[in-house]
Amino acid sequence: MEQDESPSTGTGRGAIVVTALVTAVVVGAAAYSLGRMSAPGRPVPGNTSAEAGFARDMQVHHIQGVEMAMIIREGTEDEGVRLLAYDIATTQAHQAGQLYGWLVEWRLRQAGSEPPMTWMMAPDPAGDHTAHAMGALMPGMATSAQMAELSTASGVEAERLFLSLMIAHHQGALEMAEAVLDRTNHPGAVTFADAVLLSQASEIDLMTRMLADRNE
Amino acid sequence: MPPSRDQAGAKNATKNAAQIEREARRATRVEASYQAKKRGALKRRFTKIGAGVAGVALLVAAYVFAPEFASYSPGSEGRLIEGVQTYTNITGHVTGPVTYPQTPPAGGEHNPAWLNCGIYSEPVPSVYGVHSLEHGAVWVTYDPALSPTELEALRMHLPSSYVVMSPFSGLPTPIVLSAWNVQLSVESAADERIPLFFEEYWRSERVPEPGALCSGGIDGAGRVS
Repeated sequence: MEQDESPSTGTGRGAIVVTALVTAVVVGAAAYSLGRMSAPGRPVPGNTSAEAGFARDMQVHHIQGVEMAMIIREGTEDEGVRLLAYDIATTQAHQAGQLYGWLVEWRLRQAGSEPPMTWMMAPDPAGDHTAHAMGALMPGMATSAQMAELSTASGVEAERLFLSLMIAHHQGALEMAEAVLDRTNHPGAVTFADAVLLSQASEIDLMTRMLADRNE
Repeated sequence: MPPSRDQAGAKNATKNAAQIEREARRATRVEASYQAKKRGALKRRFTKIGAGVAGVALLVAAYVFAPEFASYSPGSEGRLIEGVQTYTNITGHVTGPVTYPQTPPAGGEHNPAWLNCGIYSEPVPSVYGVHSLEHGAVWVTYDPALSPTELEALRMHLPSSYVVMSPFSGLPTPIVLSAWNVQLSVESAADERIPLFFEEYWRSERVPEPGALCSGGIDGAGRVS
């Protein structure tokens, strides 16, 4: 019996090893495609990702933009400023809603587990921008004193104040959009940030001209 | 003539020898066929085990290779924070006073105007505060007798927007956090469930009007910031 099997043992082991290897490769490949196909197209950003941080902080930023635009729309009779305010309020409210929707879709909460702006404090992978300083205010945000001042001002004075606050506000948005572009390749986030860069840069030019007109 | 005992014995011995040989041959055949059967059974068993192992490996590897889903810890998907009460208040605009079933209110009918979010040093009318809850704000109420140290510690928890903080008489505990139809009562500002409550319910999508502003409404008395 022992003698019977001993000549075939060598080939038997070889066959077993080859079969095991082939099976392992086939199983691995099948499992890989199964795993990829059964899951969403691409991994969803996590709770402390730059994308989630951007989605949360940009909402805070945009919502203040909406508030400022609504205040000036009620505080002035100037058609140019009122129209600009309408444009800014609807655009930024819509964009804030988009960001809100991302977080819902990613199954994340609107509040992060880390303080605001933490994602911008992380060194950016490309290393060509400085990271946001710890404890610094979100770029471009108006203080509550400035908001109160805008609410009580009227006429050209209110328009000047609005324009200078909104220029700073937009510049802060550019900074945040650039920061997320340095840290993400998520298609939705890239498209969004590109749109912010394009539209807000052109609005900064417009508001700079409008402010100059009112300073003459 | 009967055979002699010796003859019979020899015959028997011959017969026995032949029989033993036959039996031995049969035993060998039986053993050989048994071994063959055993090998076959073993082979089938190994095939079954192999297929089983491959199947399990397939499932495990598919799970391991699947792209990671969003990671999210505190509060989390439907996981309730200990002590959070949930309610089923309705919504709607009314201009008169409203009697709220919870103290402080955690939802229900409210005034058409909402309360501007912020820190208030005086009690705010509930009919406006509830409207802010409908927009996703968290309303932090505290006993008017709360110590300044506790008050300061409580303020450290607050996000920069979508929060109303005001004193409220008759609370069940010194501090109560309310969002639309959810509420958490705590004894002190150091309670570790406070940040979890904010993370879970601040600007929640489970309010009637998520994303509506918490500014542009009306200010109550004693607005600090």
